Amino acid sequence: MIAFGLILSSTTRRLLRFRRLIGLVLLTGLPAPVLFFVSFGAADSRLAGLYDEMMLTVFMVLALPVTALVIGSAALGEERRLRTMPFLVLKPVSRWTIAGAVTGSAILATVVVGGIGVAATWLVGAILTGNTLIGLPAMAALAISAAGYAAIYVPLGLLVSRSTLAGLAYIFIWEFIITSIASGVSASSIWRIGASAYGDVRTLSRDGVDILDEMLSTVSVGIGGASAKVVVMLAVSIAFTGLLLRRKDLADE
Amino acid sequence: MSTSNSATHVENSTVTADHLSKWYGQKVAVSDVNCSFGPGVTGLLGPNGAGKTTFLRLLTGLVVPSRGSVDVLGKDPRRDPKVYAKVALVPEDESVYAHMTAWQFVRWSAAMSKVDQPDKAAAEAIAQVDLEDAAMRKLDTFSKGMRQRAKVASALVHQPDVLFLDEPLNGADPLQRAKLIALFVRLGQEGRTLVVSSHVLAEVERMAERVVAMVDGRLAAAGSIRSLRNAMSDIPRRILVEADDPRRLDAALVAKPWTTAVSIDGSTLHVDTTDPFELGALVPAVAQAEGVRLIKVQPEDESLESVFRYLVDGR
Repeated sequence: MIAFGLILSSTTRRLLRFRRLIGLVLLTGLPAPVLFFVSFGAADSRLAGLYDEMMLTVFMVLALPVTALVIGSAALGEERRLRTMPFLVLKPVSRWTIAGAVTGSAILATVVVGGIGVAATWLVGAILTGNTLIGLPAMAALAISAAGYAAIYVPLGLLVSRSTLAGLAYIFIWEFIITSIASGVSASSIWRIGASAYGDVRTLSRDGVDILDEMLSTVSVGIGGASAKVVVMLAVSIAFTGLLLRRKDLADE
Repeated sequence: MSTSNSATHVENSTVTADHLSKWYGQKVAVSDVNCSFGPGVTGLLGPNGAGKTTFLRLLTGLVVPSRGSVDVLGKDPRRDPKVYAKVALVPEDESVYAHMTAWQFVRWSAAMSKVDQPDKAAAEAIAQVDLEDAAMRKLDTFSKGMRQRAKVASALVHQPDVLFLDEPLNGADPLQRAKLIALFVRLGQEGRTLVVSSHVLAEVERMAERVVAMVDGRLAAAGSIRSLRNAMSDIPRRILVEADDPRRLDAALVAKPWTTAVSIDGSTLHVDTTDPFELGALVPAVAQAEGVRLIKVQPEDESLESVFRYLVDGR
């Protein structure tokens, strides 16, 4: 448990180094100024809808997957690329503890970075609509999506040297295309899982409901189901990452 | 010099490589290496690209063998990470955790290795490598030599029984180099197993009683430094000597029993010898006796690669 905490804190600090933090906060905070500018001239009844639109499209579909990719793939991928892996793995610590702690760091770092962006947009949304609780669904969706993306990107970073490219391919090919075409697998799409949590936390605007219906397709709204899916994904991911740490070369040629 | 079973294996071995091979696609990095290491300092010698780093990574479990097996303190580190409580590696790469200070890095290693009093252990390890003054500085502000020392401190903090060091003296200044060598010798005398890789024979000679030499991924030679010296002494070698009066030095050197031939080229002497070590030690004394000022003395074919090729292939 001590080792878990040590790895968690050290990896989170590494993942949140200043330059990366600034770049990603600018990305996750993007909906805030966009919402501010598009709200000019909009009817008051449309403002809550505009907020939902910003969060469900710009944040959930664009900013969050890319942020989670940068952080998740760096969690172990950077240890390998920067050749610091021996300091982490040549320790009397179970491989699954390392996998779990590093995955936890990726989730925590993504929630911190995404949380700053959500808070900025929440502030603008609250000022525009007068609803101080307007940001809660995005926070819930952020936590669940961050866990889902970490389950994919952490092992990917260890497995593939060009993990950022591979992760972008995953987002565009799997998340955007395949899960949109094949309804049988759409429930495994992480942004749909996040969106299903988003729709369950607060009564959405009419525009928000329309966007959510289009996004979710056959996936039903529900934070419980979304959480359960992510827990299963995390368990499989940590087991797989632990196995990779045992079976795979941890230093390049 | 030999690679017979008696030379490659030691009694009371703590680390054993059993027909160990590693290849990356078509490239063979380590080929069928069969040897063991025991308490004391063993030098792992070989030219750059000989496979030393890959071999150390195999021994520590950082990479998976393509064939063969590794035994460290009776365990396969790949299967049983608990063995890392008694094992450490100082990697060759300059990389360190840039976001940590030296103190945080060493203390983190102590806590990760489940040391009882990590603060005390970290302070002692940092003192062993003379980094107290820089302990609170971030590692990314350190010079290469200081990073090496921080890595050594991090490796020593849990007092491992087996310590692998990959080119640990890289970047260290002469004073620190001497201190680190003294530290490694002391650790070896305490009964710990140290495997120190280097491509500099003279460095290894100062700390190791035994050497294991690799060339092209293969075990080229194993045994004591003396046996390596003897094996090298059988091979005529050439030493370059620059002096202000080469003719006078030529006459003095040619009479010595280790000298087989001397040629002069301007102010430079090319001395062929059967024992470069003896000759290297003798030249300054001869020059002083003759009143000749030496400008440079250096081996012309001293590269380990050529030495080991002689040992392996006789060419």
